[in-house]
Amino acid sequence: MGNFGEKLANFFIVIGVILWVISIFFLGGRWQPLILSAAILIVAIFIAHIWEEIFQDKK
Amino acid sequence: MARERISQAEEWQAWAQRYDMEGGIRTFESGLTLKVFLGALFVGLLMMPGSIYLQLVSGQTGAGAAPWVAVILFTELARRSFTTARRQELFILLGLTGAAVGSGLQYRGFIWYSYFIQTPQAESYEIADKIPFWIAPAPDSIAIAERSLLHMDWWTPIWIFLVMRLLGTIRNISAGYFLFRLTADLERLPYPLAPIEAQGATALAETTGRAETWRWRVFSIGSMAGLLWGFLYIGIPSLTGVMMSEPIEILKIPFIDFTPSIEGFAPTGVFALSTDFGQILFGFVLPFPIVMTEFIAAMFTQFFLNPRILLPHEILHQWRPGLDVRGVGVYNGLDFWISANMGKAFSFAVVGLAASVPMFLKFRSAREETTGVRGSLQTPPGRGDFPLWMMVGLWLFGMIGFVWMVHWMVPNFPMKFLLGFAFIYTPLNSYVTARTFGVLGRDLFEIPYIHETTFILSRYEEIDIWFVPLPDEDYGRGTQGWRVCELTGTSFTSNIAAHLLIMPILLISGILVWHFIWKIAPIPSAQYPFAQTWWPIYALNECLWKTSLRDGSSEMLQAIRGDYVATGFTGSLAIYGLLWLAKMPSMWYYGIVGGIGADPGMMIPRLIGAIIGRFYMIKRFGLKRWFMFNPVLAAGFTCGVGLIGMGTVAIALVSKAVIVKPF
Repeated sequence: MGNFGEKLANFFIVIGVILWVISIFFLGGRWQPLILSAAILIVAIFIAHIWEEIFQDKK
Repeated sequence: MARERISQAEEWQAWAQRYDMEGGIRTFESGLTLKVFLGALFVGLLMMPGSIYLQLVSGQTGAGAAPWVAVILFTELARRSFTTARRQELFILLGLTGAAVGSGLQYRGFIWYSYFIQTPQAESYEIADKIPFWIAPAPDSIAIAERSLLHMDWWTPIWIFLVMRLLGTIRNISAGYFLFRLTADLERLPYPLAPIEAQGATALAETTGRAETWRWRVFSIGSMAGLLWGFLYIGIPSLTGVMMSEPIEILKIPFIDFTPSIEGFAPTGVFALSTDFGQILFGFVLPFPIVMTEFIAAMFTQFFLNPRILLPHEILHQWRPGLDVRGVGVYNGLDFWISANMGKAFSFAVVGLAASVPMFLKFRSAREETTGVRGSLQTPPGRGDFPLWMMVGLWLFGMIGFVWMVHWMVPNFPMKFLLGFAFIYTPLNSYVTARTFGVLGRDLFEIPYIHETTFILSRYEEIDIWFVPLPDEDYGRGTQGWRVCELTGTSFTSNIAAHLLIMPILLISGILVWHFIWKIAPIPSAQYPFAQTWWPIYALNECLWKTSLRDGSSEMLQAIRGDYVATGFTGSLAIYGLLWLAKMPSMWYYGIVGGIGADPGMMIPRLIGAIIGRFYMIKRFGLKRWFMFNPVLAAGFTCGVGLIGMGTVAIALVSKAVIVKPF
């Protein structure tokens, strides 16, 4: 899987964080967009850990 | 230079290795001897009153000190008697003394509910008359008026407590052992923190040689500092409290409140400086990144987030000038922080689950690769193992008895929830925890607010359900104890026998000690400053929770706002994600998220300790030596404070016995 998992996790984290910032500052902090960004972040965190523990190349 | 990414498992195992002194041993002996049993009983019972008293006076139990006192006394006696103490004996001694001191604290609930049932808070929330008879006697009972635990009105609560305790011991031993065999023998997980625990016994056993060792010197330095601090902080207020109506406090216990002073520039911020500077020593032991980031996050919350963001947007809307730390805390909690903290708790659960899942997949294959063999359930000779079917049978007996007791206490609560907790959730949760302890040495995953969710789903609205222990248990952390026992070479049978022998003595003596401490003065009262400061707040919180589901429009339900829960949840996950992007250690996450919303003043003593440790002690002694010194130093300090607590409670008891007599 090489570094693909890391890049994928990074991508989802960036998207999740941007959506989180937008939800707080432009959408009035309503729970619906916040939970959407949380869902994206959860996917990112799971990918990150699975990649880190299983696929990461250790020196 | 690019930062190298390390996984959570590697990070925490590296931390644990700082304390790791040696590997496992494969010869086993019994550690239970008469001298060990009597020694544990002596030190445990001597320190139990002190630890209960300390908890009420300063909020610290000092329970961690008792095992060390026992071991140090035992090894010194052995050395002066030209004999040696075996590591198996010291391991049993540590366990028994810890159990002896800890057993005193488990009766706190009796005194707490005697107080709670009479509080104006319980009265105003209309639950004072709804507290079940198996928790505490009625508010007008003579047992409460006379402050006596030996009155017959207490028989039902005490009887139920004792049966629950017995069943709980059976379940903990059997399930803990079963999971240990599964994770340590069959799956061969490393349990990285077990050698640290084993170190106390293994290393001190070596000190019974002729030469005096560094441990004794370090322990003595810590003890003297603890005695001095304990006298100033605990001794003077307690002793003057016996003689005067208002005790003299050199440093106000438990904090000095600067909240009204900062409201000019940080309204809605709280800052109460903890005066328990004994916490400095615990700052030495805690990971520096956690202490530091926690403090910075707390400062940010109280001096920027609360006053500059949440107050102007009227999210914190109940605050008014002149409130102290407790008032601001209650209003801020109801307005925002209870909800946000719920979100934070959910984020811990998600991160924990995300870290646990890959470990399930990884470690089994890794073990097979490195050792070439799979673990088996075959036991090493002499370890004192038990048949697994017997342990399963014992656990079933303990759990069925427990479920039956709970059903008897709350007959209208749906049985399916109790059975689901007992036979589905508990085994699964325990296995997950056992695995994370085996890999990381700590618990990662816990479902927050599981009781509250269950109560909502069950549509059960009676108050009594809040007082019942539900069968959602976690035996996973107990597996580490079995691993420590194995590492010290102590036979399992001797360990279990020792604990079963001491249990009845401790159960009775705990009740007697609480009875006499309650007789000294009402709890809470000026004699017990910590309880006097915090118990009214605890009572309010308990009322809020216990009435939260009563009529659908309770204060607590109104305080829990979906938007704010989602803010706390997503914000914490975003912080985790950003730290992962920056390849920062996961300790930062636990520090930052733990510190958000907290009071920075409470962290200052620990922060001072962490800074001194990091920037002076490590340079002075070197990293390895300092990490060898600091647990012993902290134990010595706790021991010194514990001895002062014990001394003052003895004087207070004697003094009270003299004063109350009219002739």
